[in-house]
Amino acid sequence: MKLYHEVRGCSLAVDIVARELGIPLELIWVDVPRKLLPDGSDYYKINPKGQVPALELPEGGFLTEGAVIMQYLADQRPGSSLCAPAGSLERYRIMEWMSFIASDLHKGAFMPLIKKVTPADYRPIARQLVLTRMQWLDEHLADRGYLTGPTFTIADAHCYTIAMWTAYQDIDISPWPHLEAYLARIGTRPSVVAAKAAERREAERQGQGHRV
Amino acid sequence: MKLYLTPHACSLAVDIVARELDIPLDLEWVDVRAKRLRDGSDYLAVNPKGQVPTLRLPDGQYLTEGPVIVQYLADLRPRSGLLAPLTALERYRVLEWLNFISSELHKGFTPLFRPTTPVEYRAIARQNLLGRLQWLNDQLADRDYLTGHTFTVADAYCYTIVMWTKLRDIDIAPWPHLKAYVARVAARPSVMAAEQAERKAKAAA
Repeated sequence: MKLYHEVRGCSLAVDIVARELGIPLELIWVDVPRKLLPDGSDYYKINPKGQVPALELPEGGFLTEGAVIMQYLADQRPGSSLCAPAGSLERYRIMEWMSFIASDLHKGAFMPLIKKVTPADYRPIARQLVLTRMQWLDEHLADRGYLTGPTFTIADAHCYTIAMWTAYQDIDISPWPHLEAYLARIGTRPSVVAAKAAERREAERQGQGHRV
Repeated sequence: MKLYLTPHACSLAVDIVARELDIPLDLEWVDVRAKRLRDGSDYLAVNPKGQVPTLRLPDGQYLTEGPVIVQYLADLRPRSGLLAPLTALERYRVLEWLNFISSELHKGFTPLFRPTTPVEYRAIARQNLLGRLQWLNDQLADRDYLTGHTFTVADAYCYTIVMWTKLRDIDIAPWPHLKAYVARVAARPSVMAAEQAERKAKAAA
């Protein structure tokens, strides 16, 4: 399967999940601002929304929305600890986190900081939204290793990917020791090390190695 | 089960879905600004994020996040047609829409509702939102509902959020497919009943 990916994209979470599951993916690096594929063709033909990630499905067609792609991949390996069985309460808990991460953390808080067109007077508001959510994550992580308990799940791959954007926005996470320890713990997983190495190789190929 | 909700919030989608499924819910109206329940008690004890909806499960636990609650309810009635069976590709297609609606459409509205949003950013957020509504309209050109011929939980959510255009004086007349879709969904008995319950709650507040 092909994963349409981007340096600094939330698509990193999908690559981490695929590596955790041992599902080989071919990484296709998309020029998202210009909506171009590496061969110069139009990315809108893959994902009319123009965003990453998108996953090319074996049966044809594409699946979009990172939080959904991660569930799809985990469901291909039903015995794995990465996601609870469909229909269980634990599964809804994982989805609950992913919904929060995709909507409140990624879109609500970080997106306005990432977008260059965001005016200066809105940036402090968006930044405060990030800080509030980091505080909330830190409190939640005070008494558990991962978001839903003692094991790493797809929600943690998602959370790690987005929370690490604090580094891109010069937000110091040291005021939140539980969150800091959590991100450090996840950062040492072989899947994460490998996914980040792939991202760095691509960034360097683009002459943008300093960005990751 | 008890649903914590607020008029004009995305919690309406959950009430619509419960009515579609014939799952009776006790409705508990929340003052989300003051984070208080009607009896004055603290809503943050129910949902520490302070948002609606929250569903109190039969065992006393709470489930949050509207797109997840609608899945939970639909899974209690697996043959309803409101959500495709687990691990069917059609299921992921519904989830794809739920995720898009929550992250792009719902969160796209949020800066327009926040009183502290500066004027210049308000204009940008509004423009982004118009782009999303245009995209929705294009998607609905050749189908009655988001994923095809049948109404799903994604339509309950989409309808709920698109109706916020009325609160922000956004006229959807330029998008005929979207306008027809909204009218089609609005005519469902579940939607009429859920909106009626909201009106009664507002009148009582």
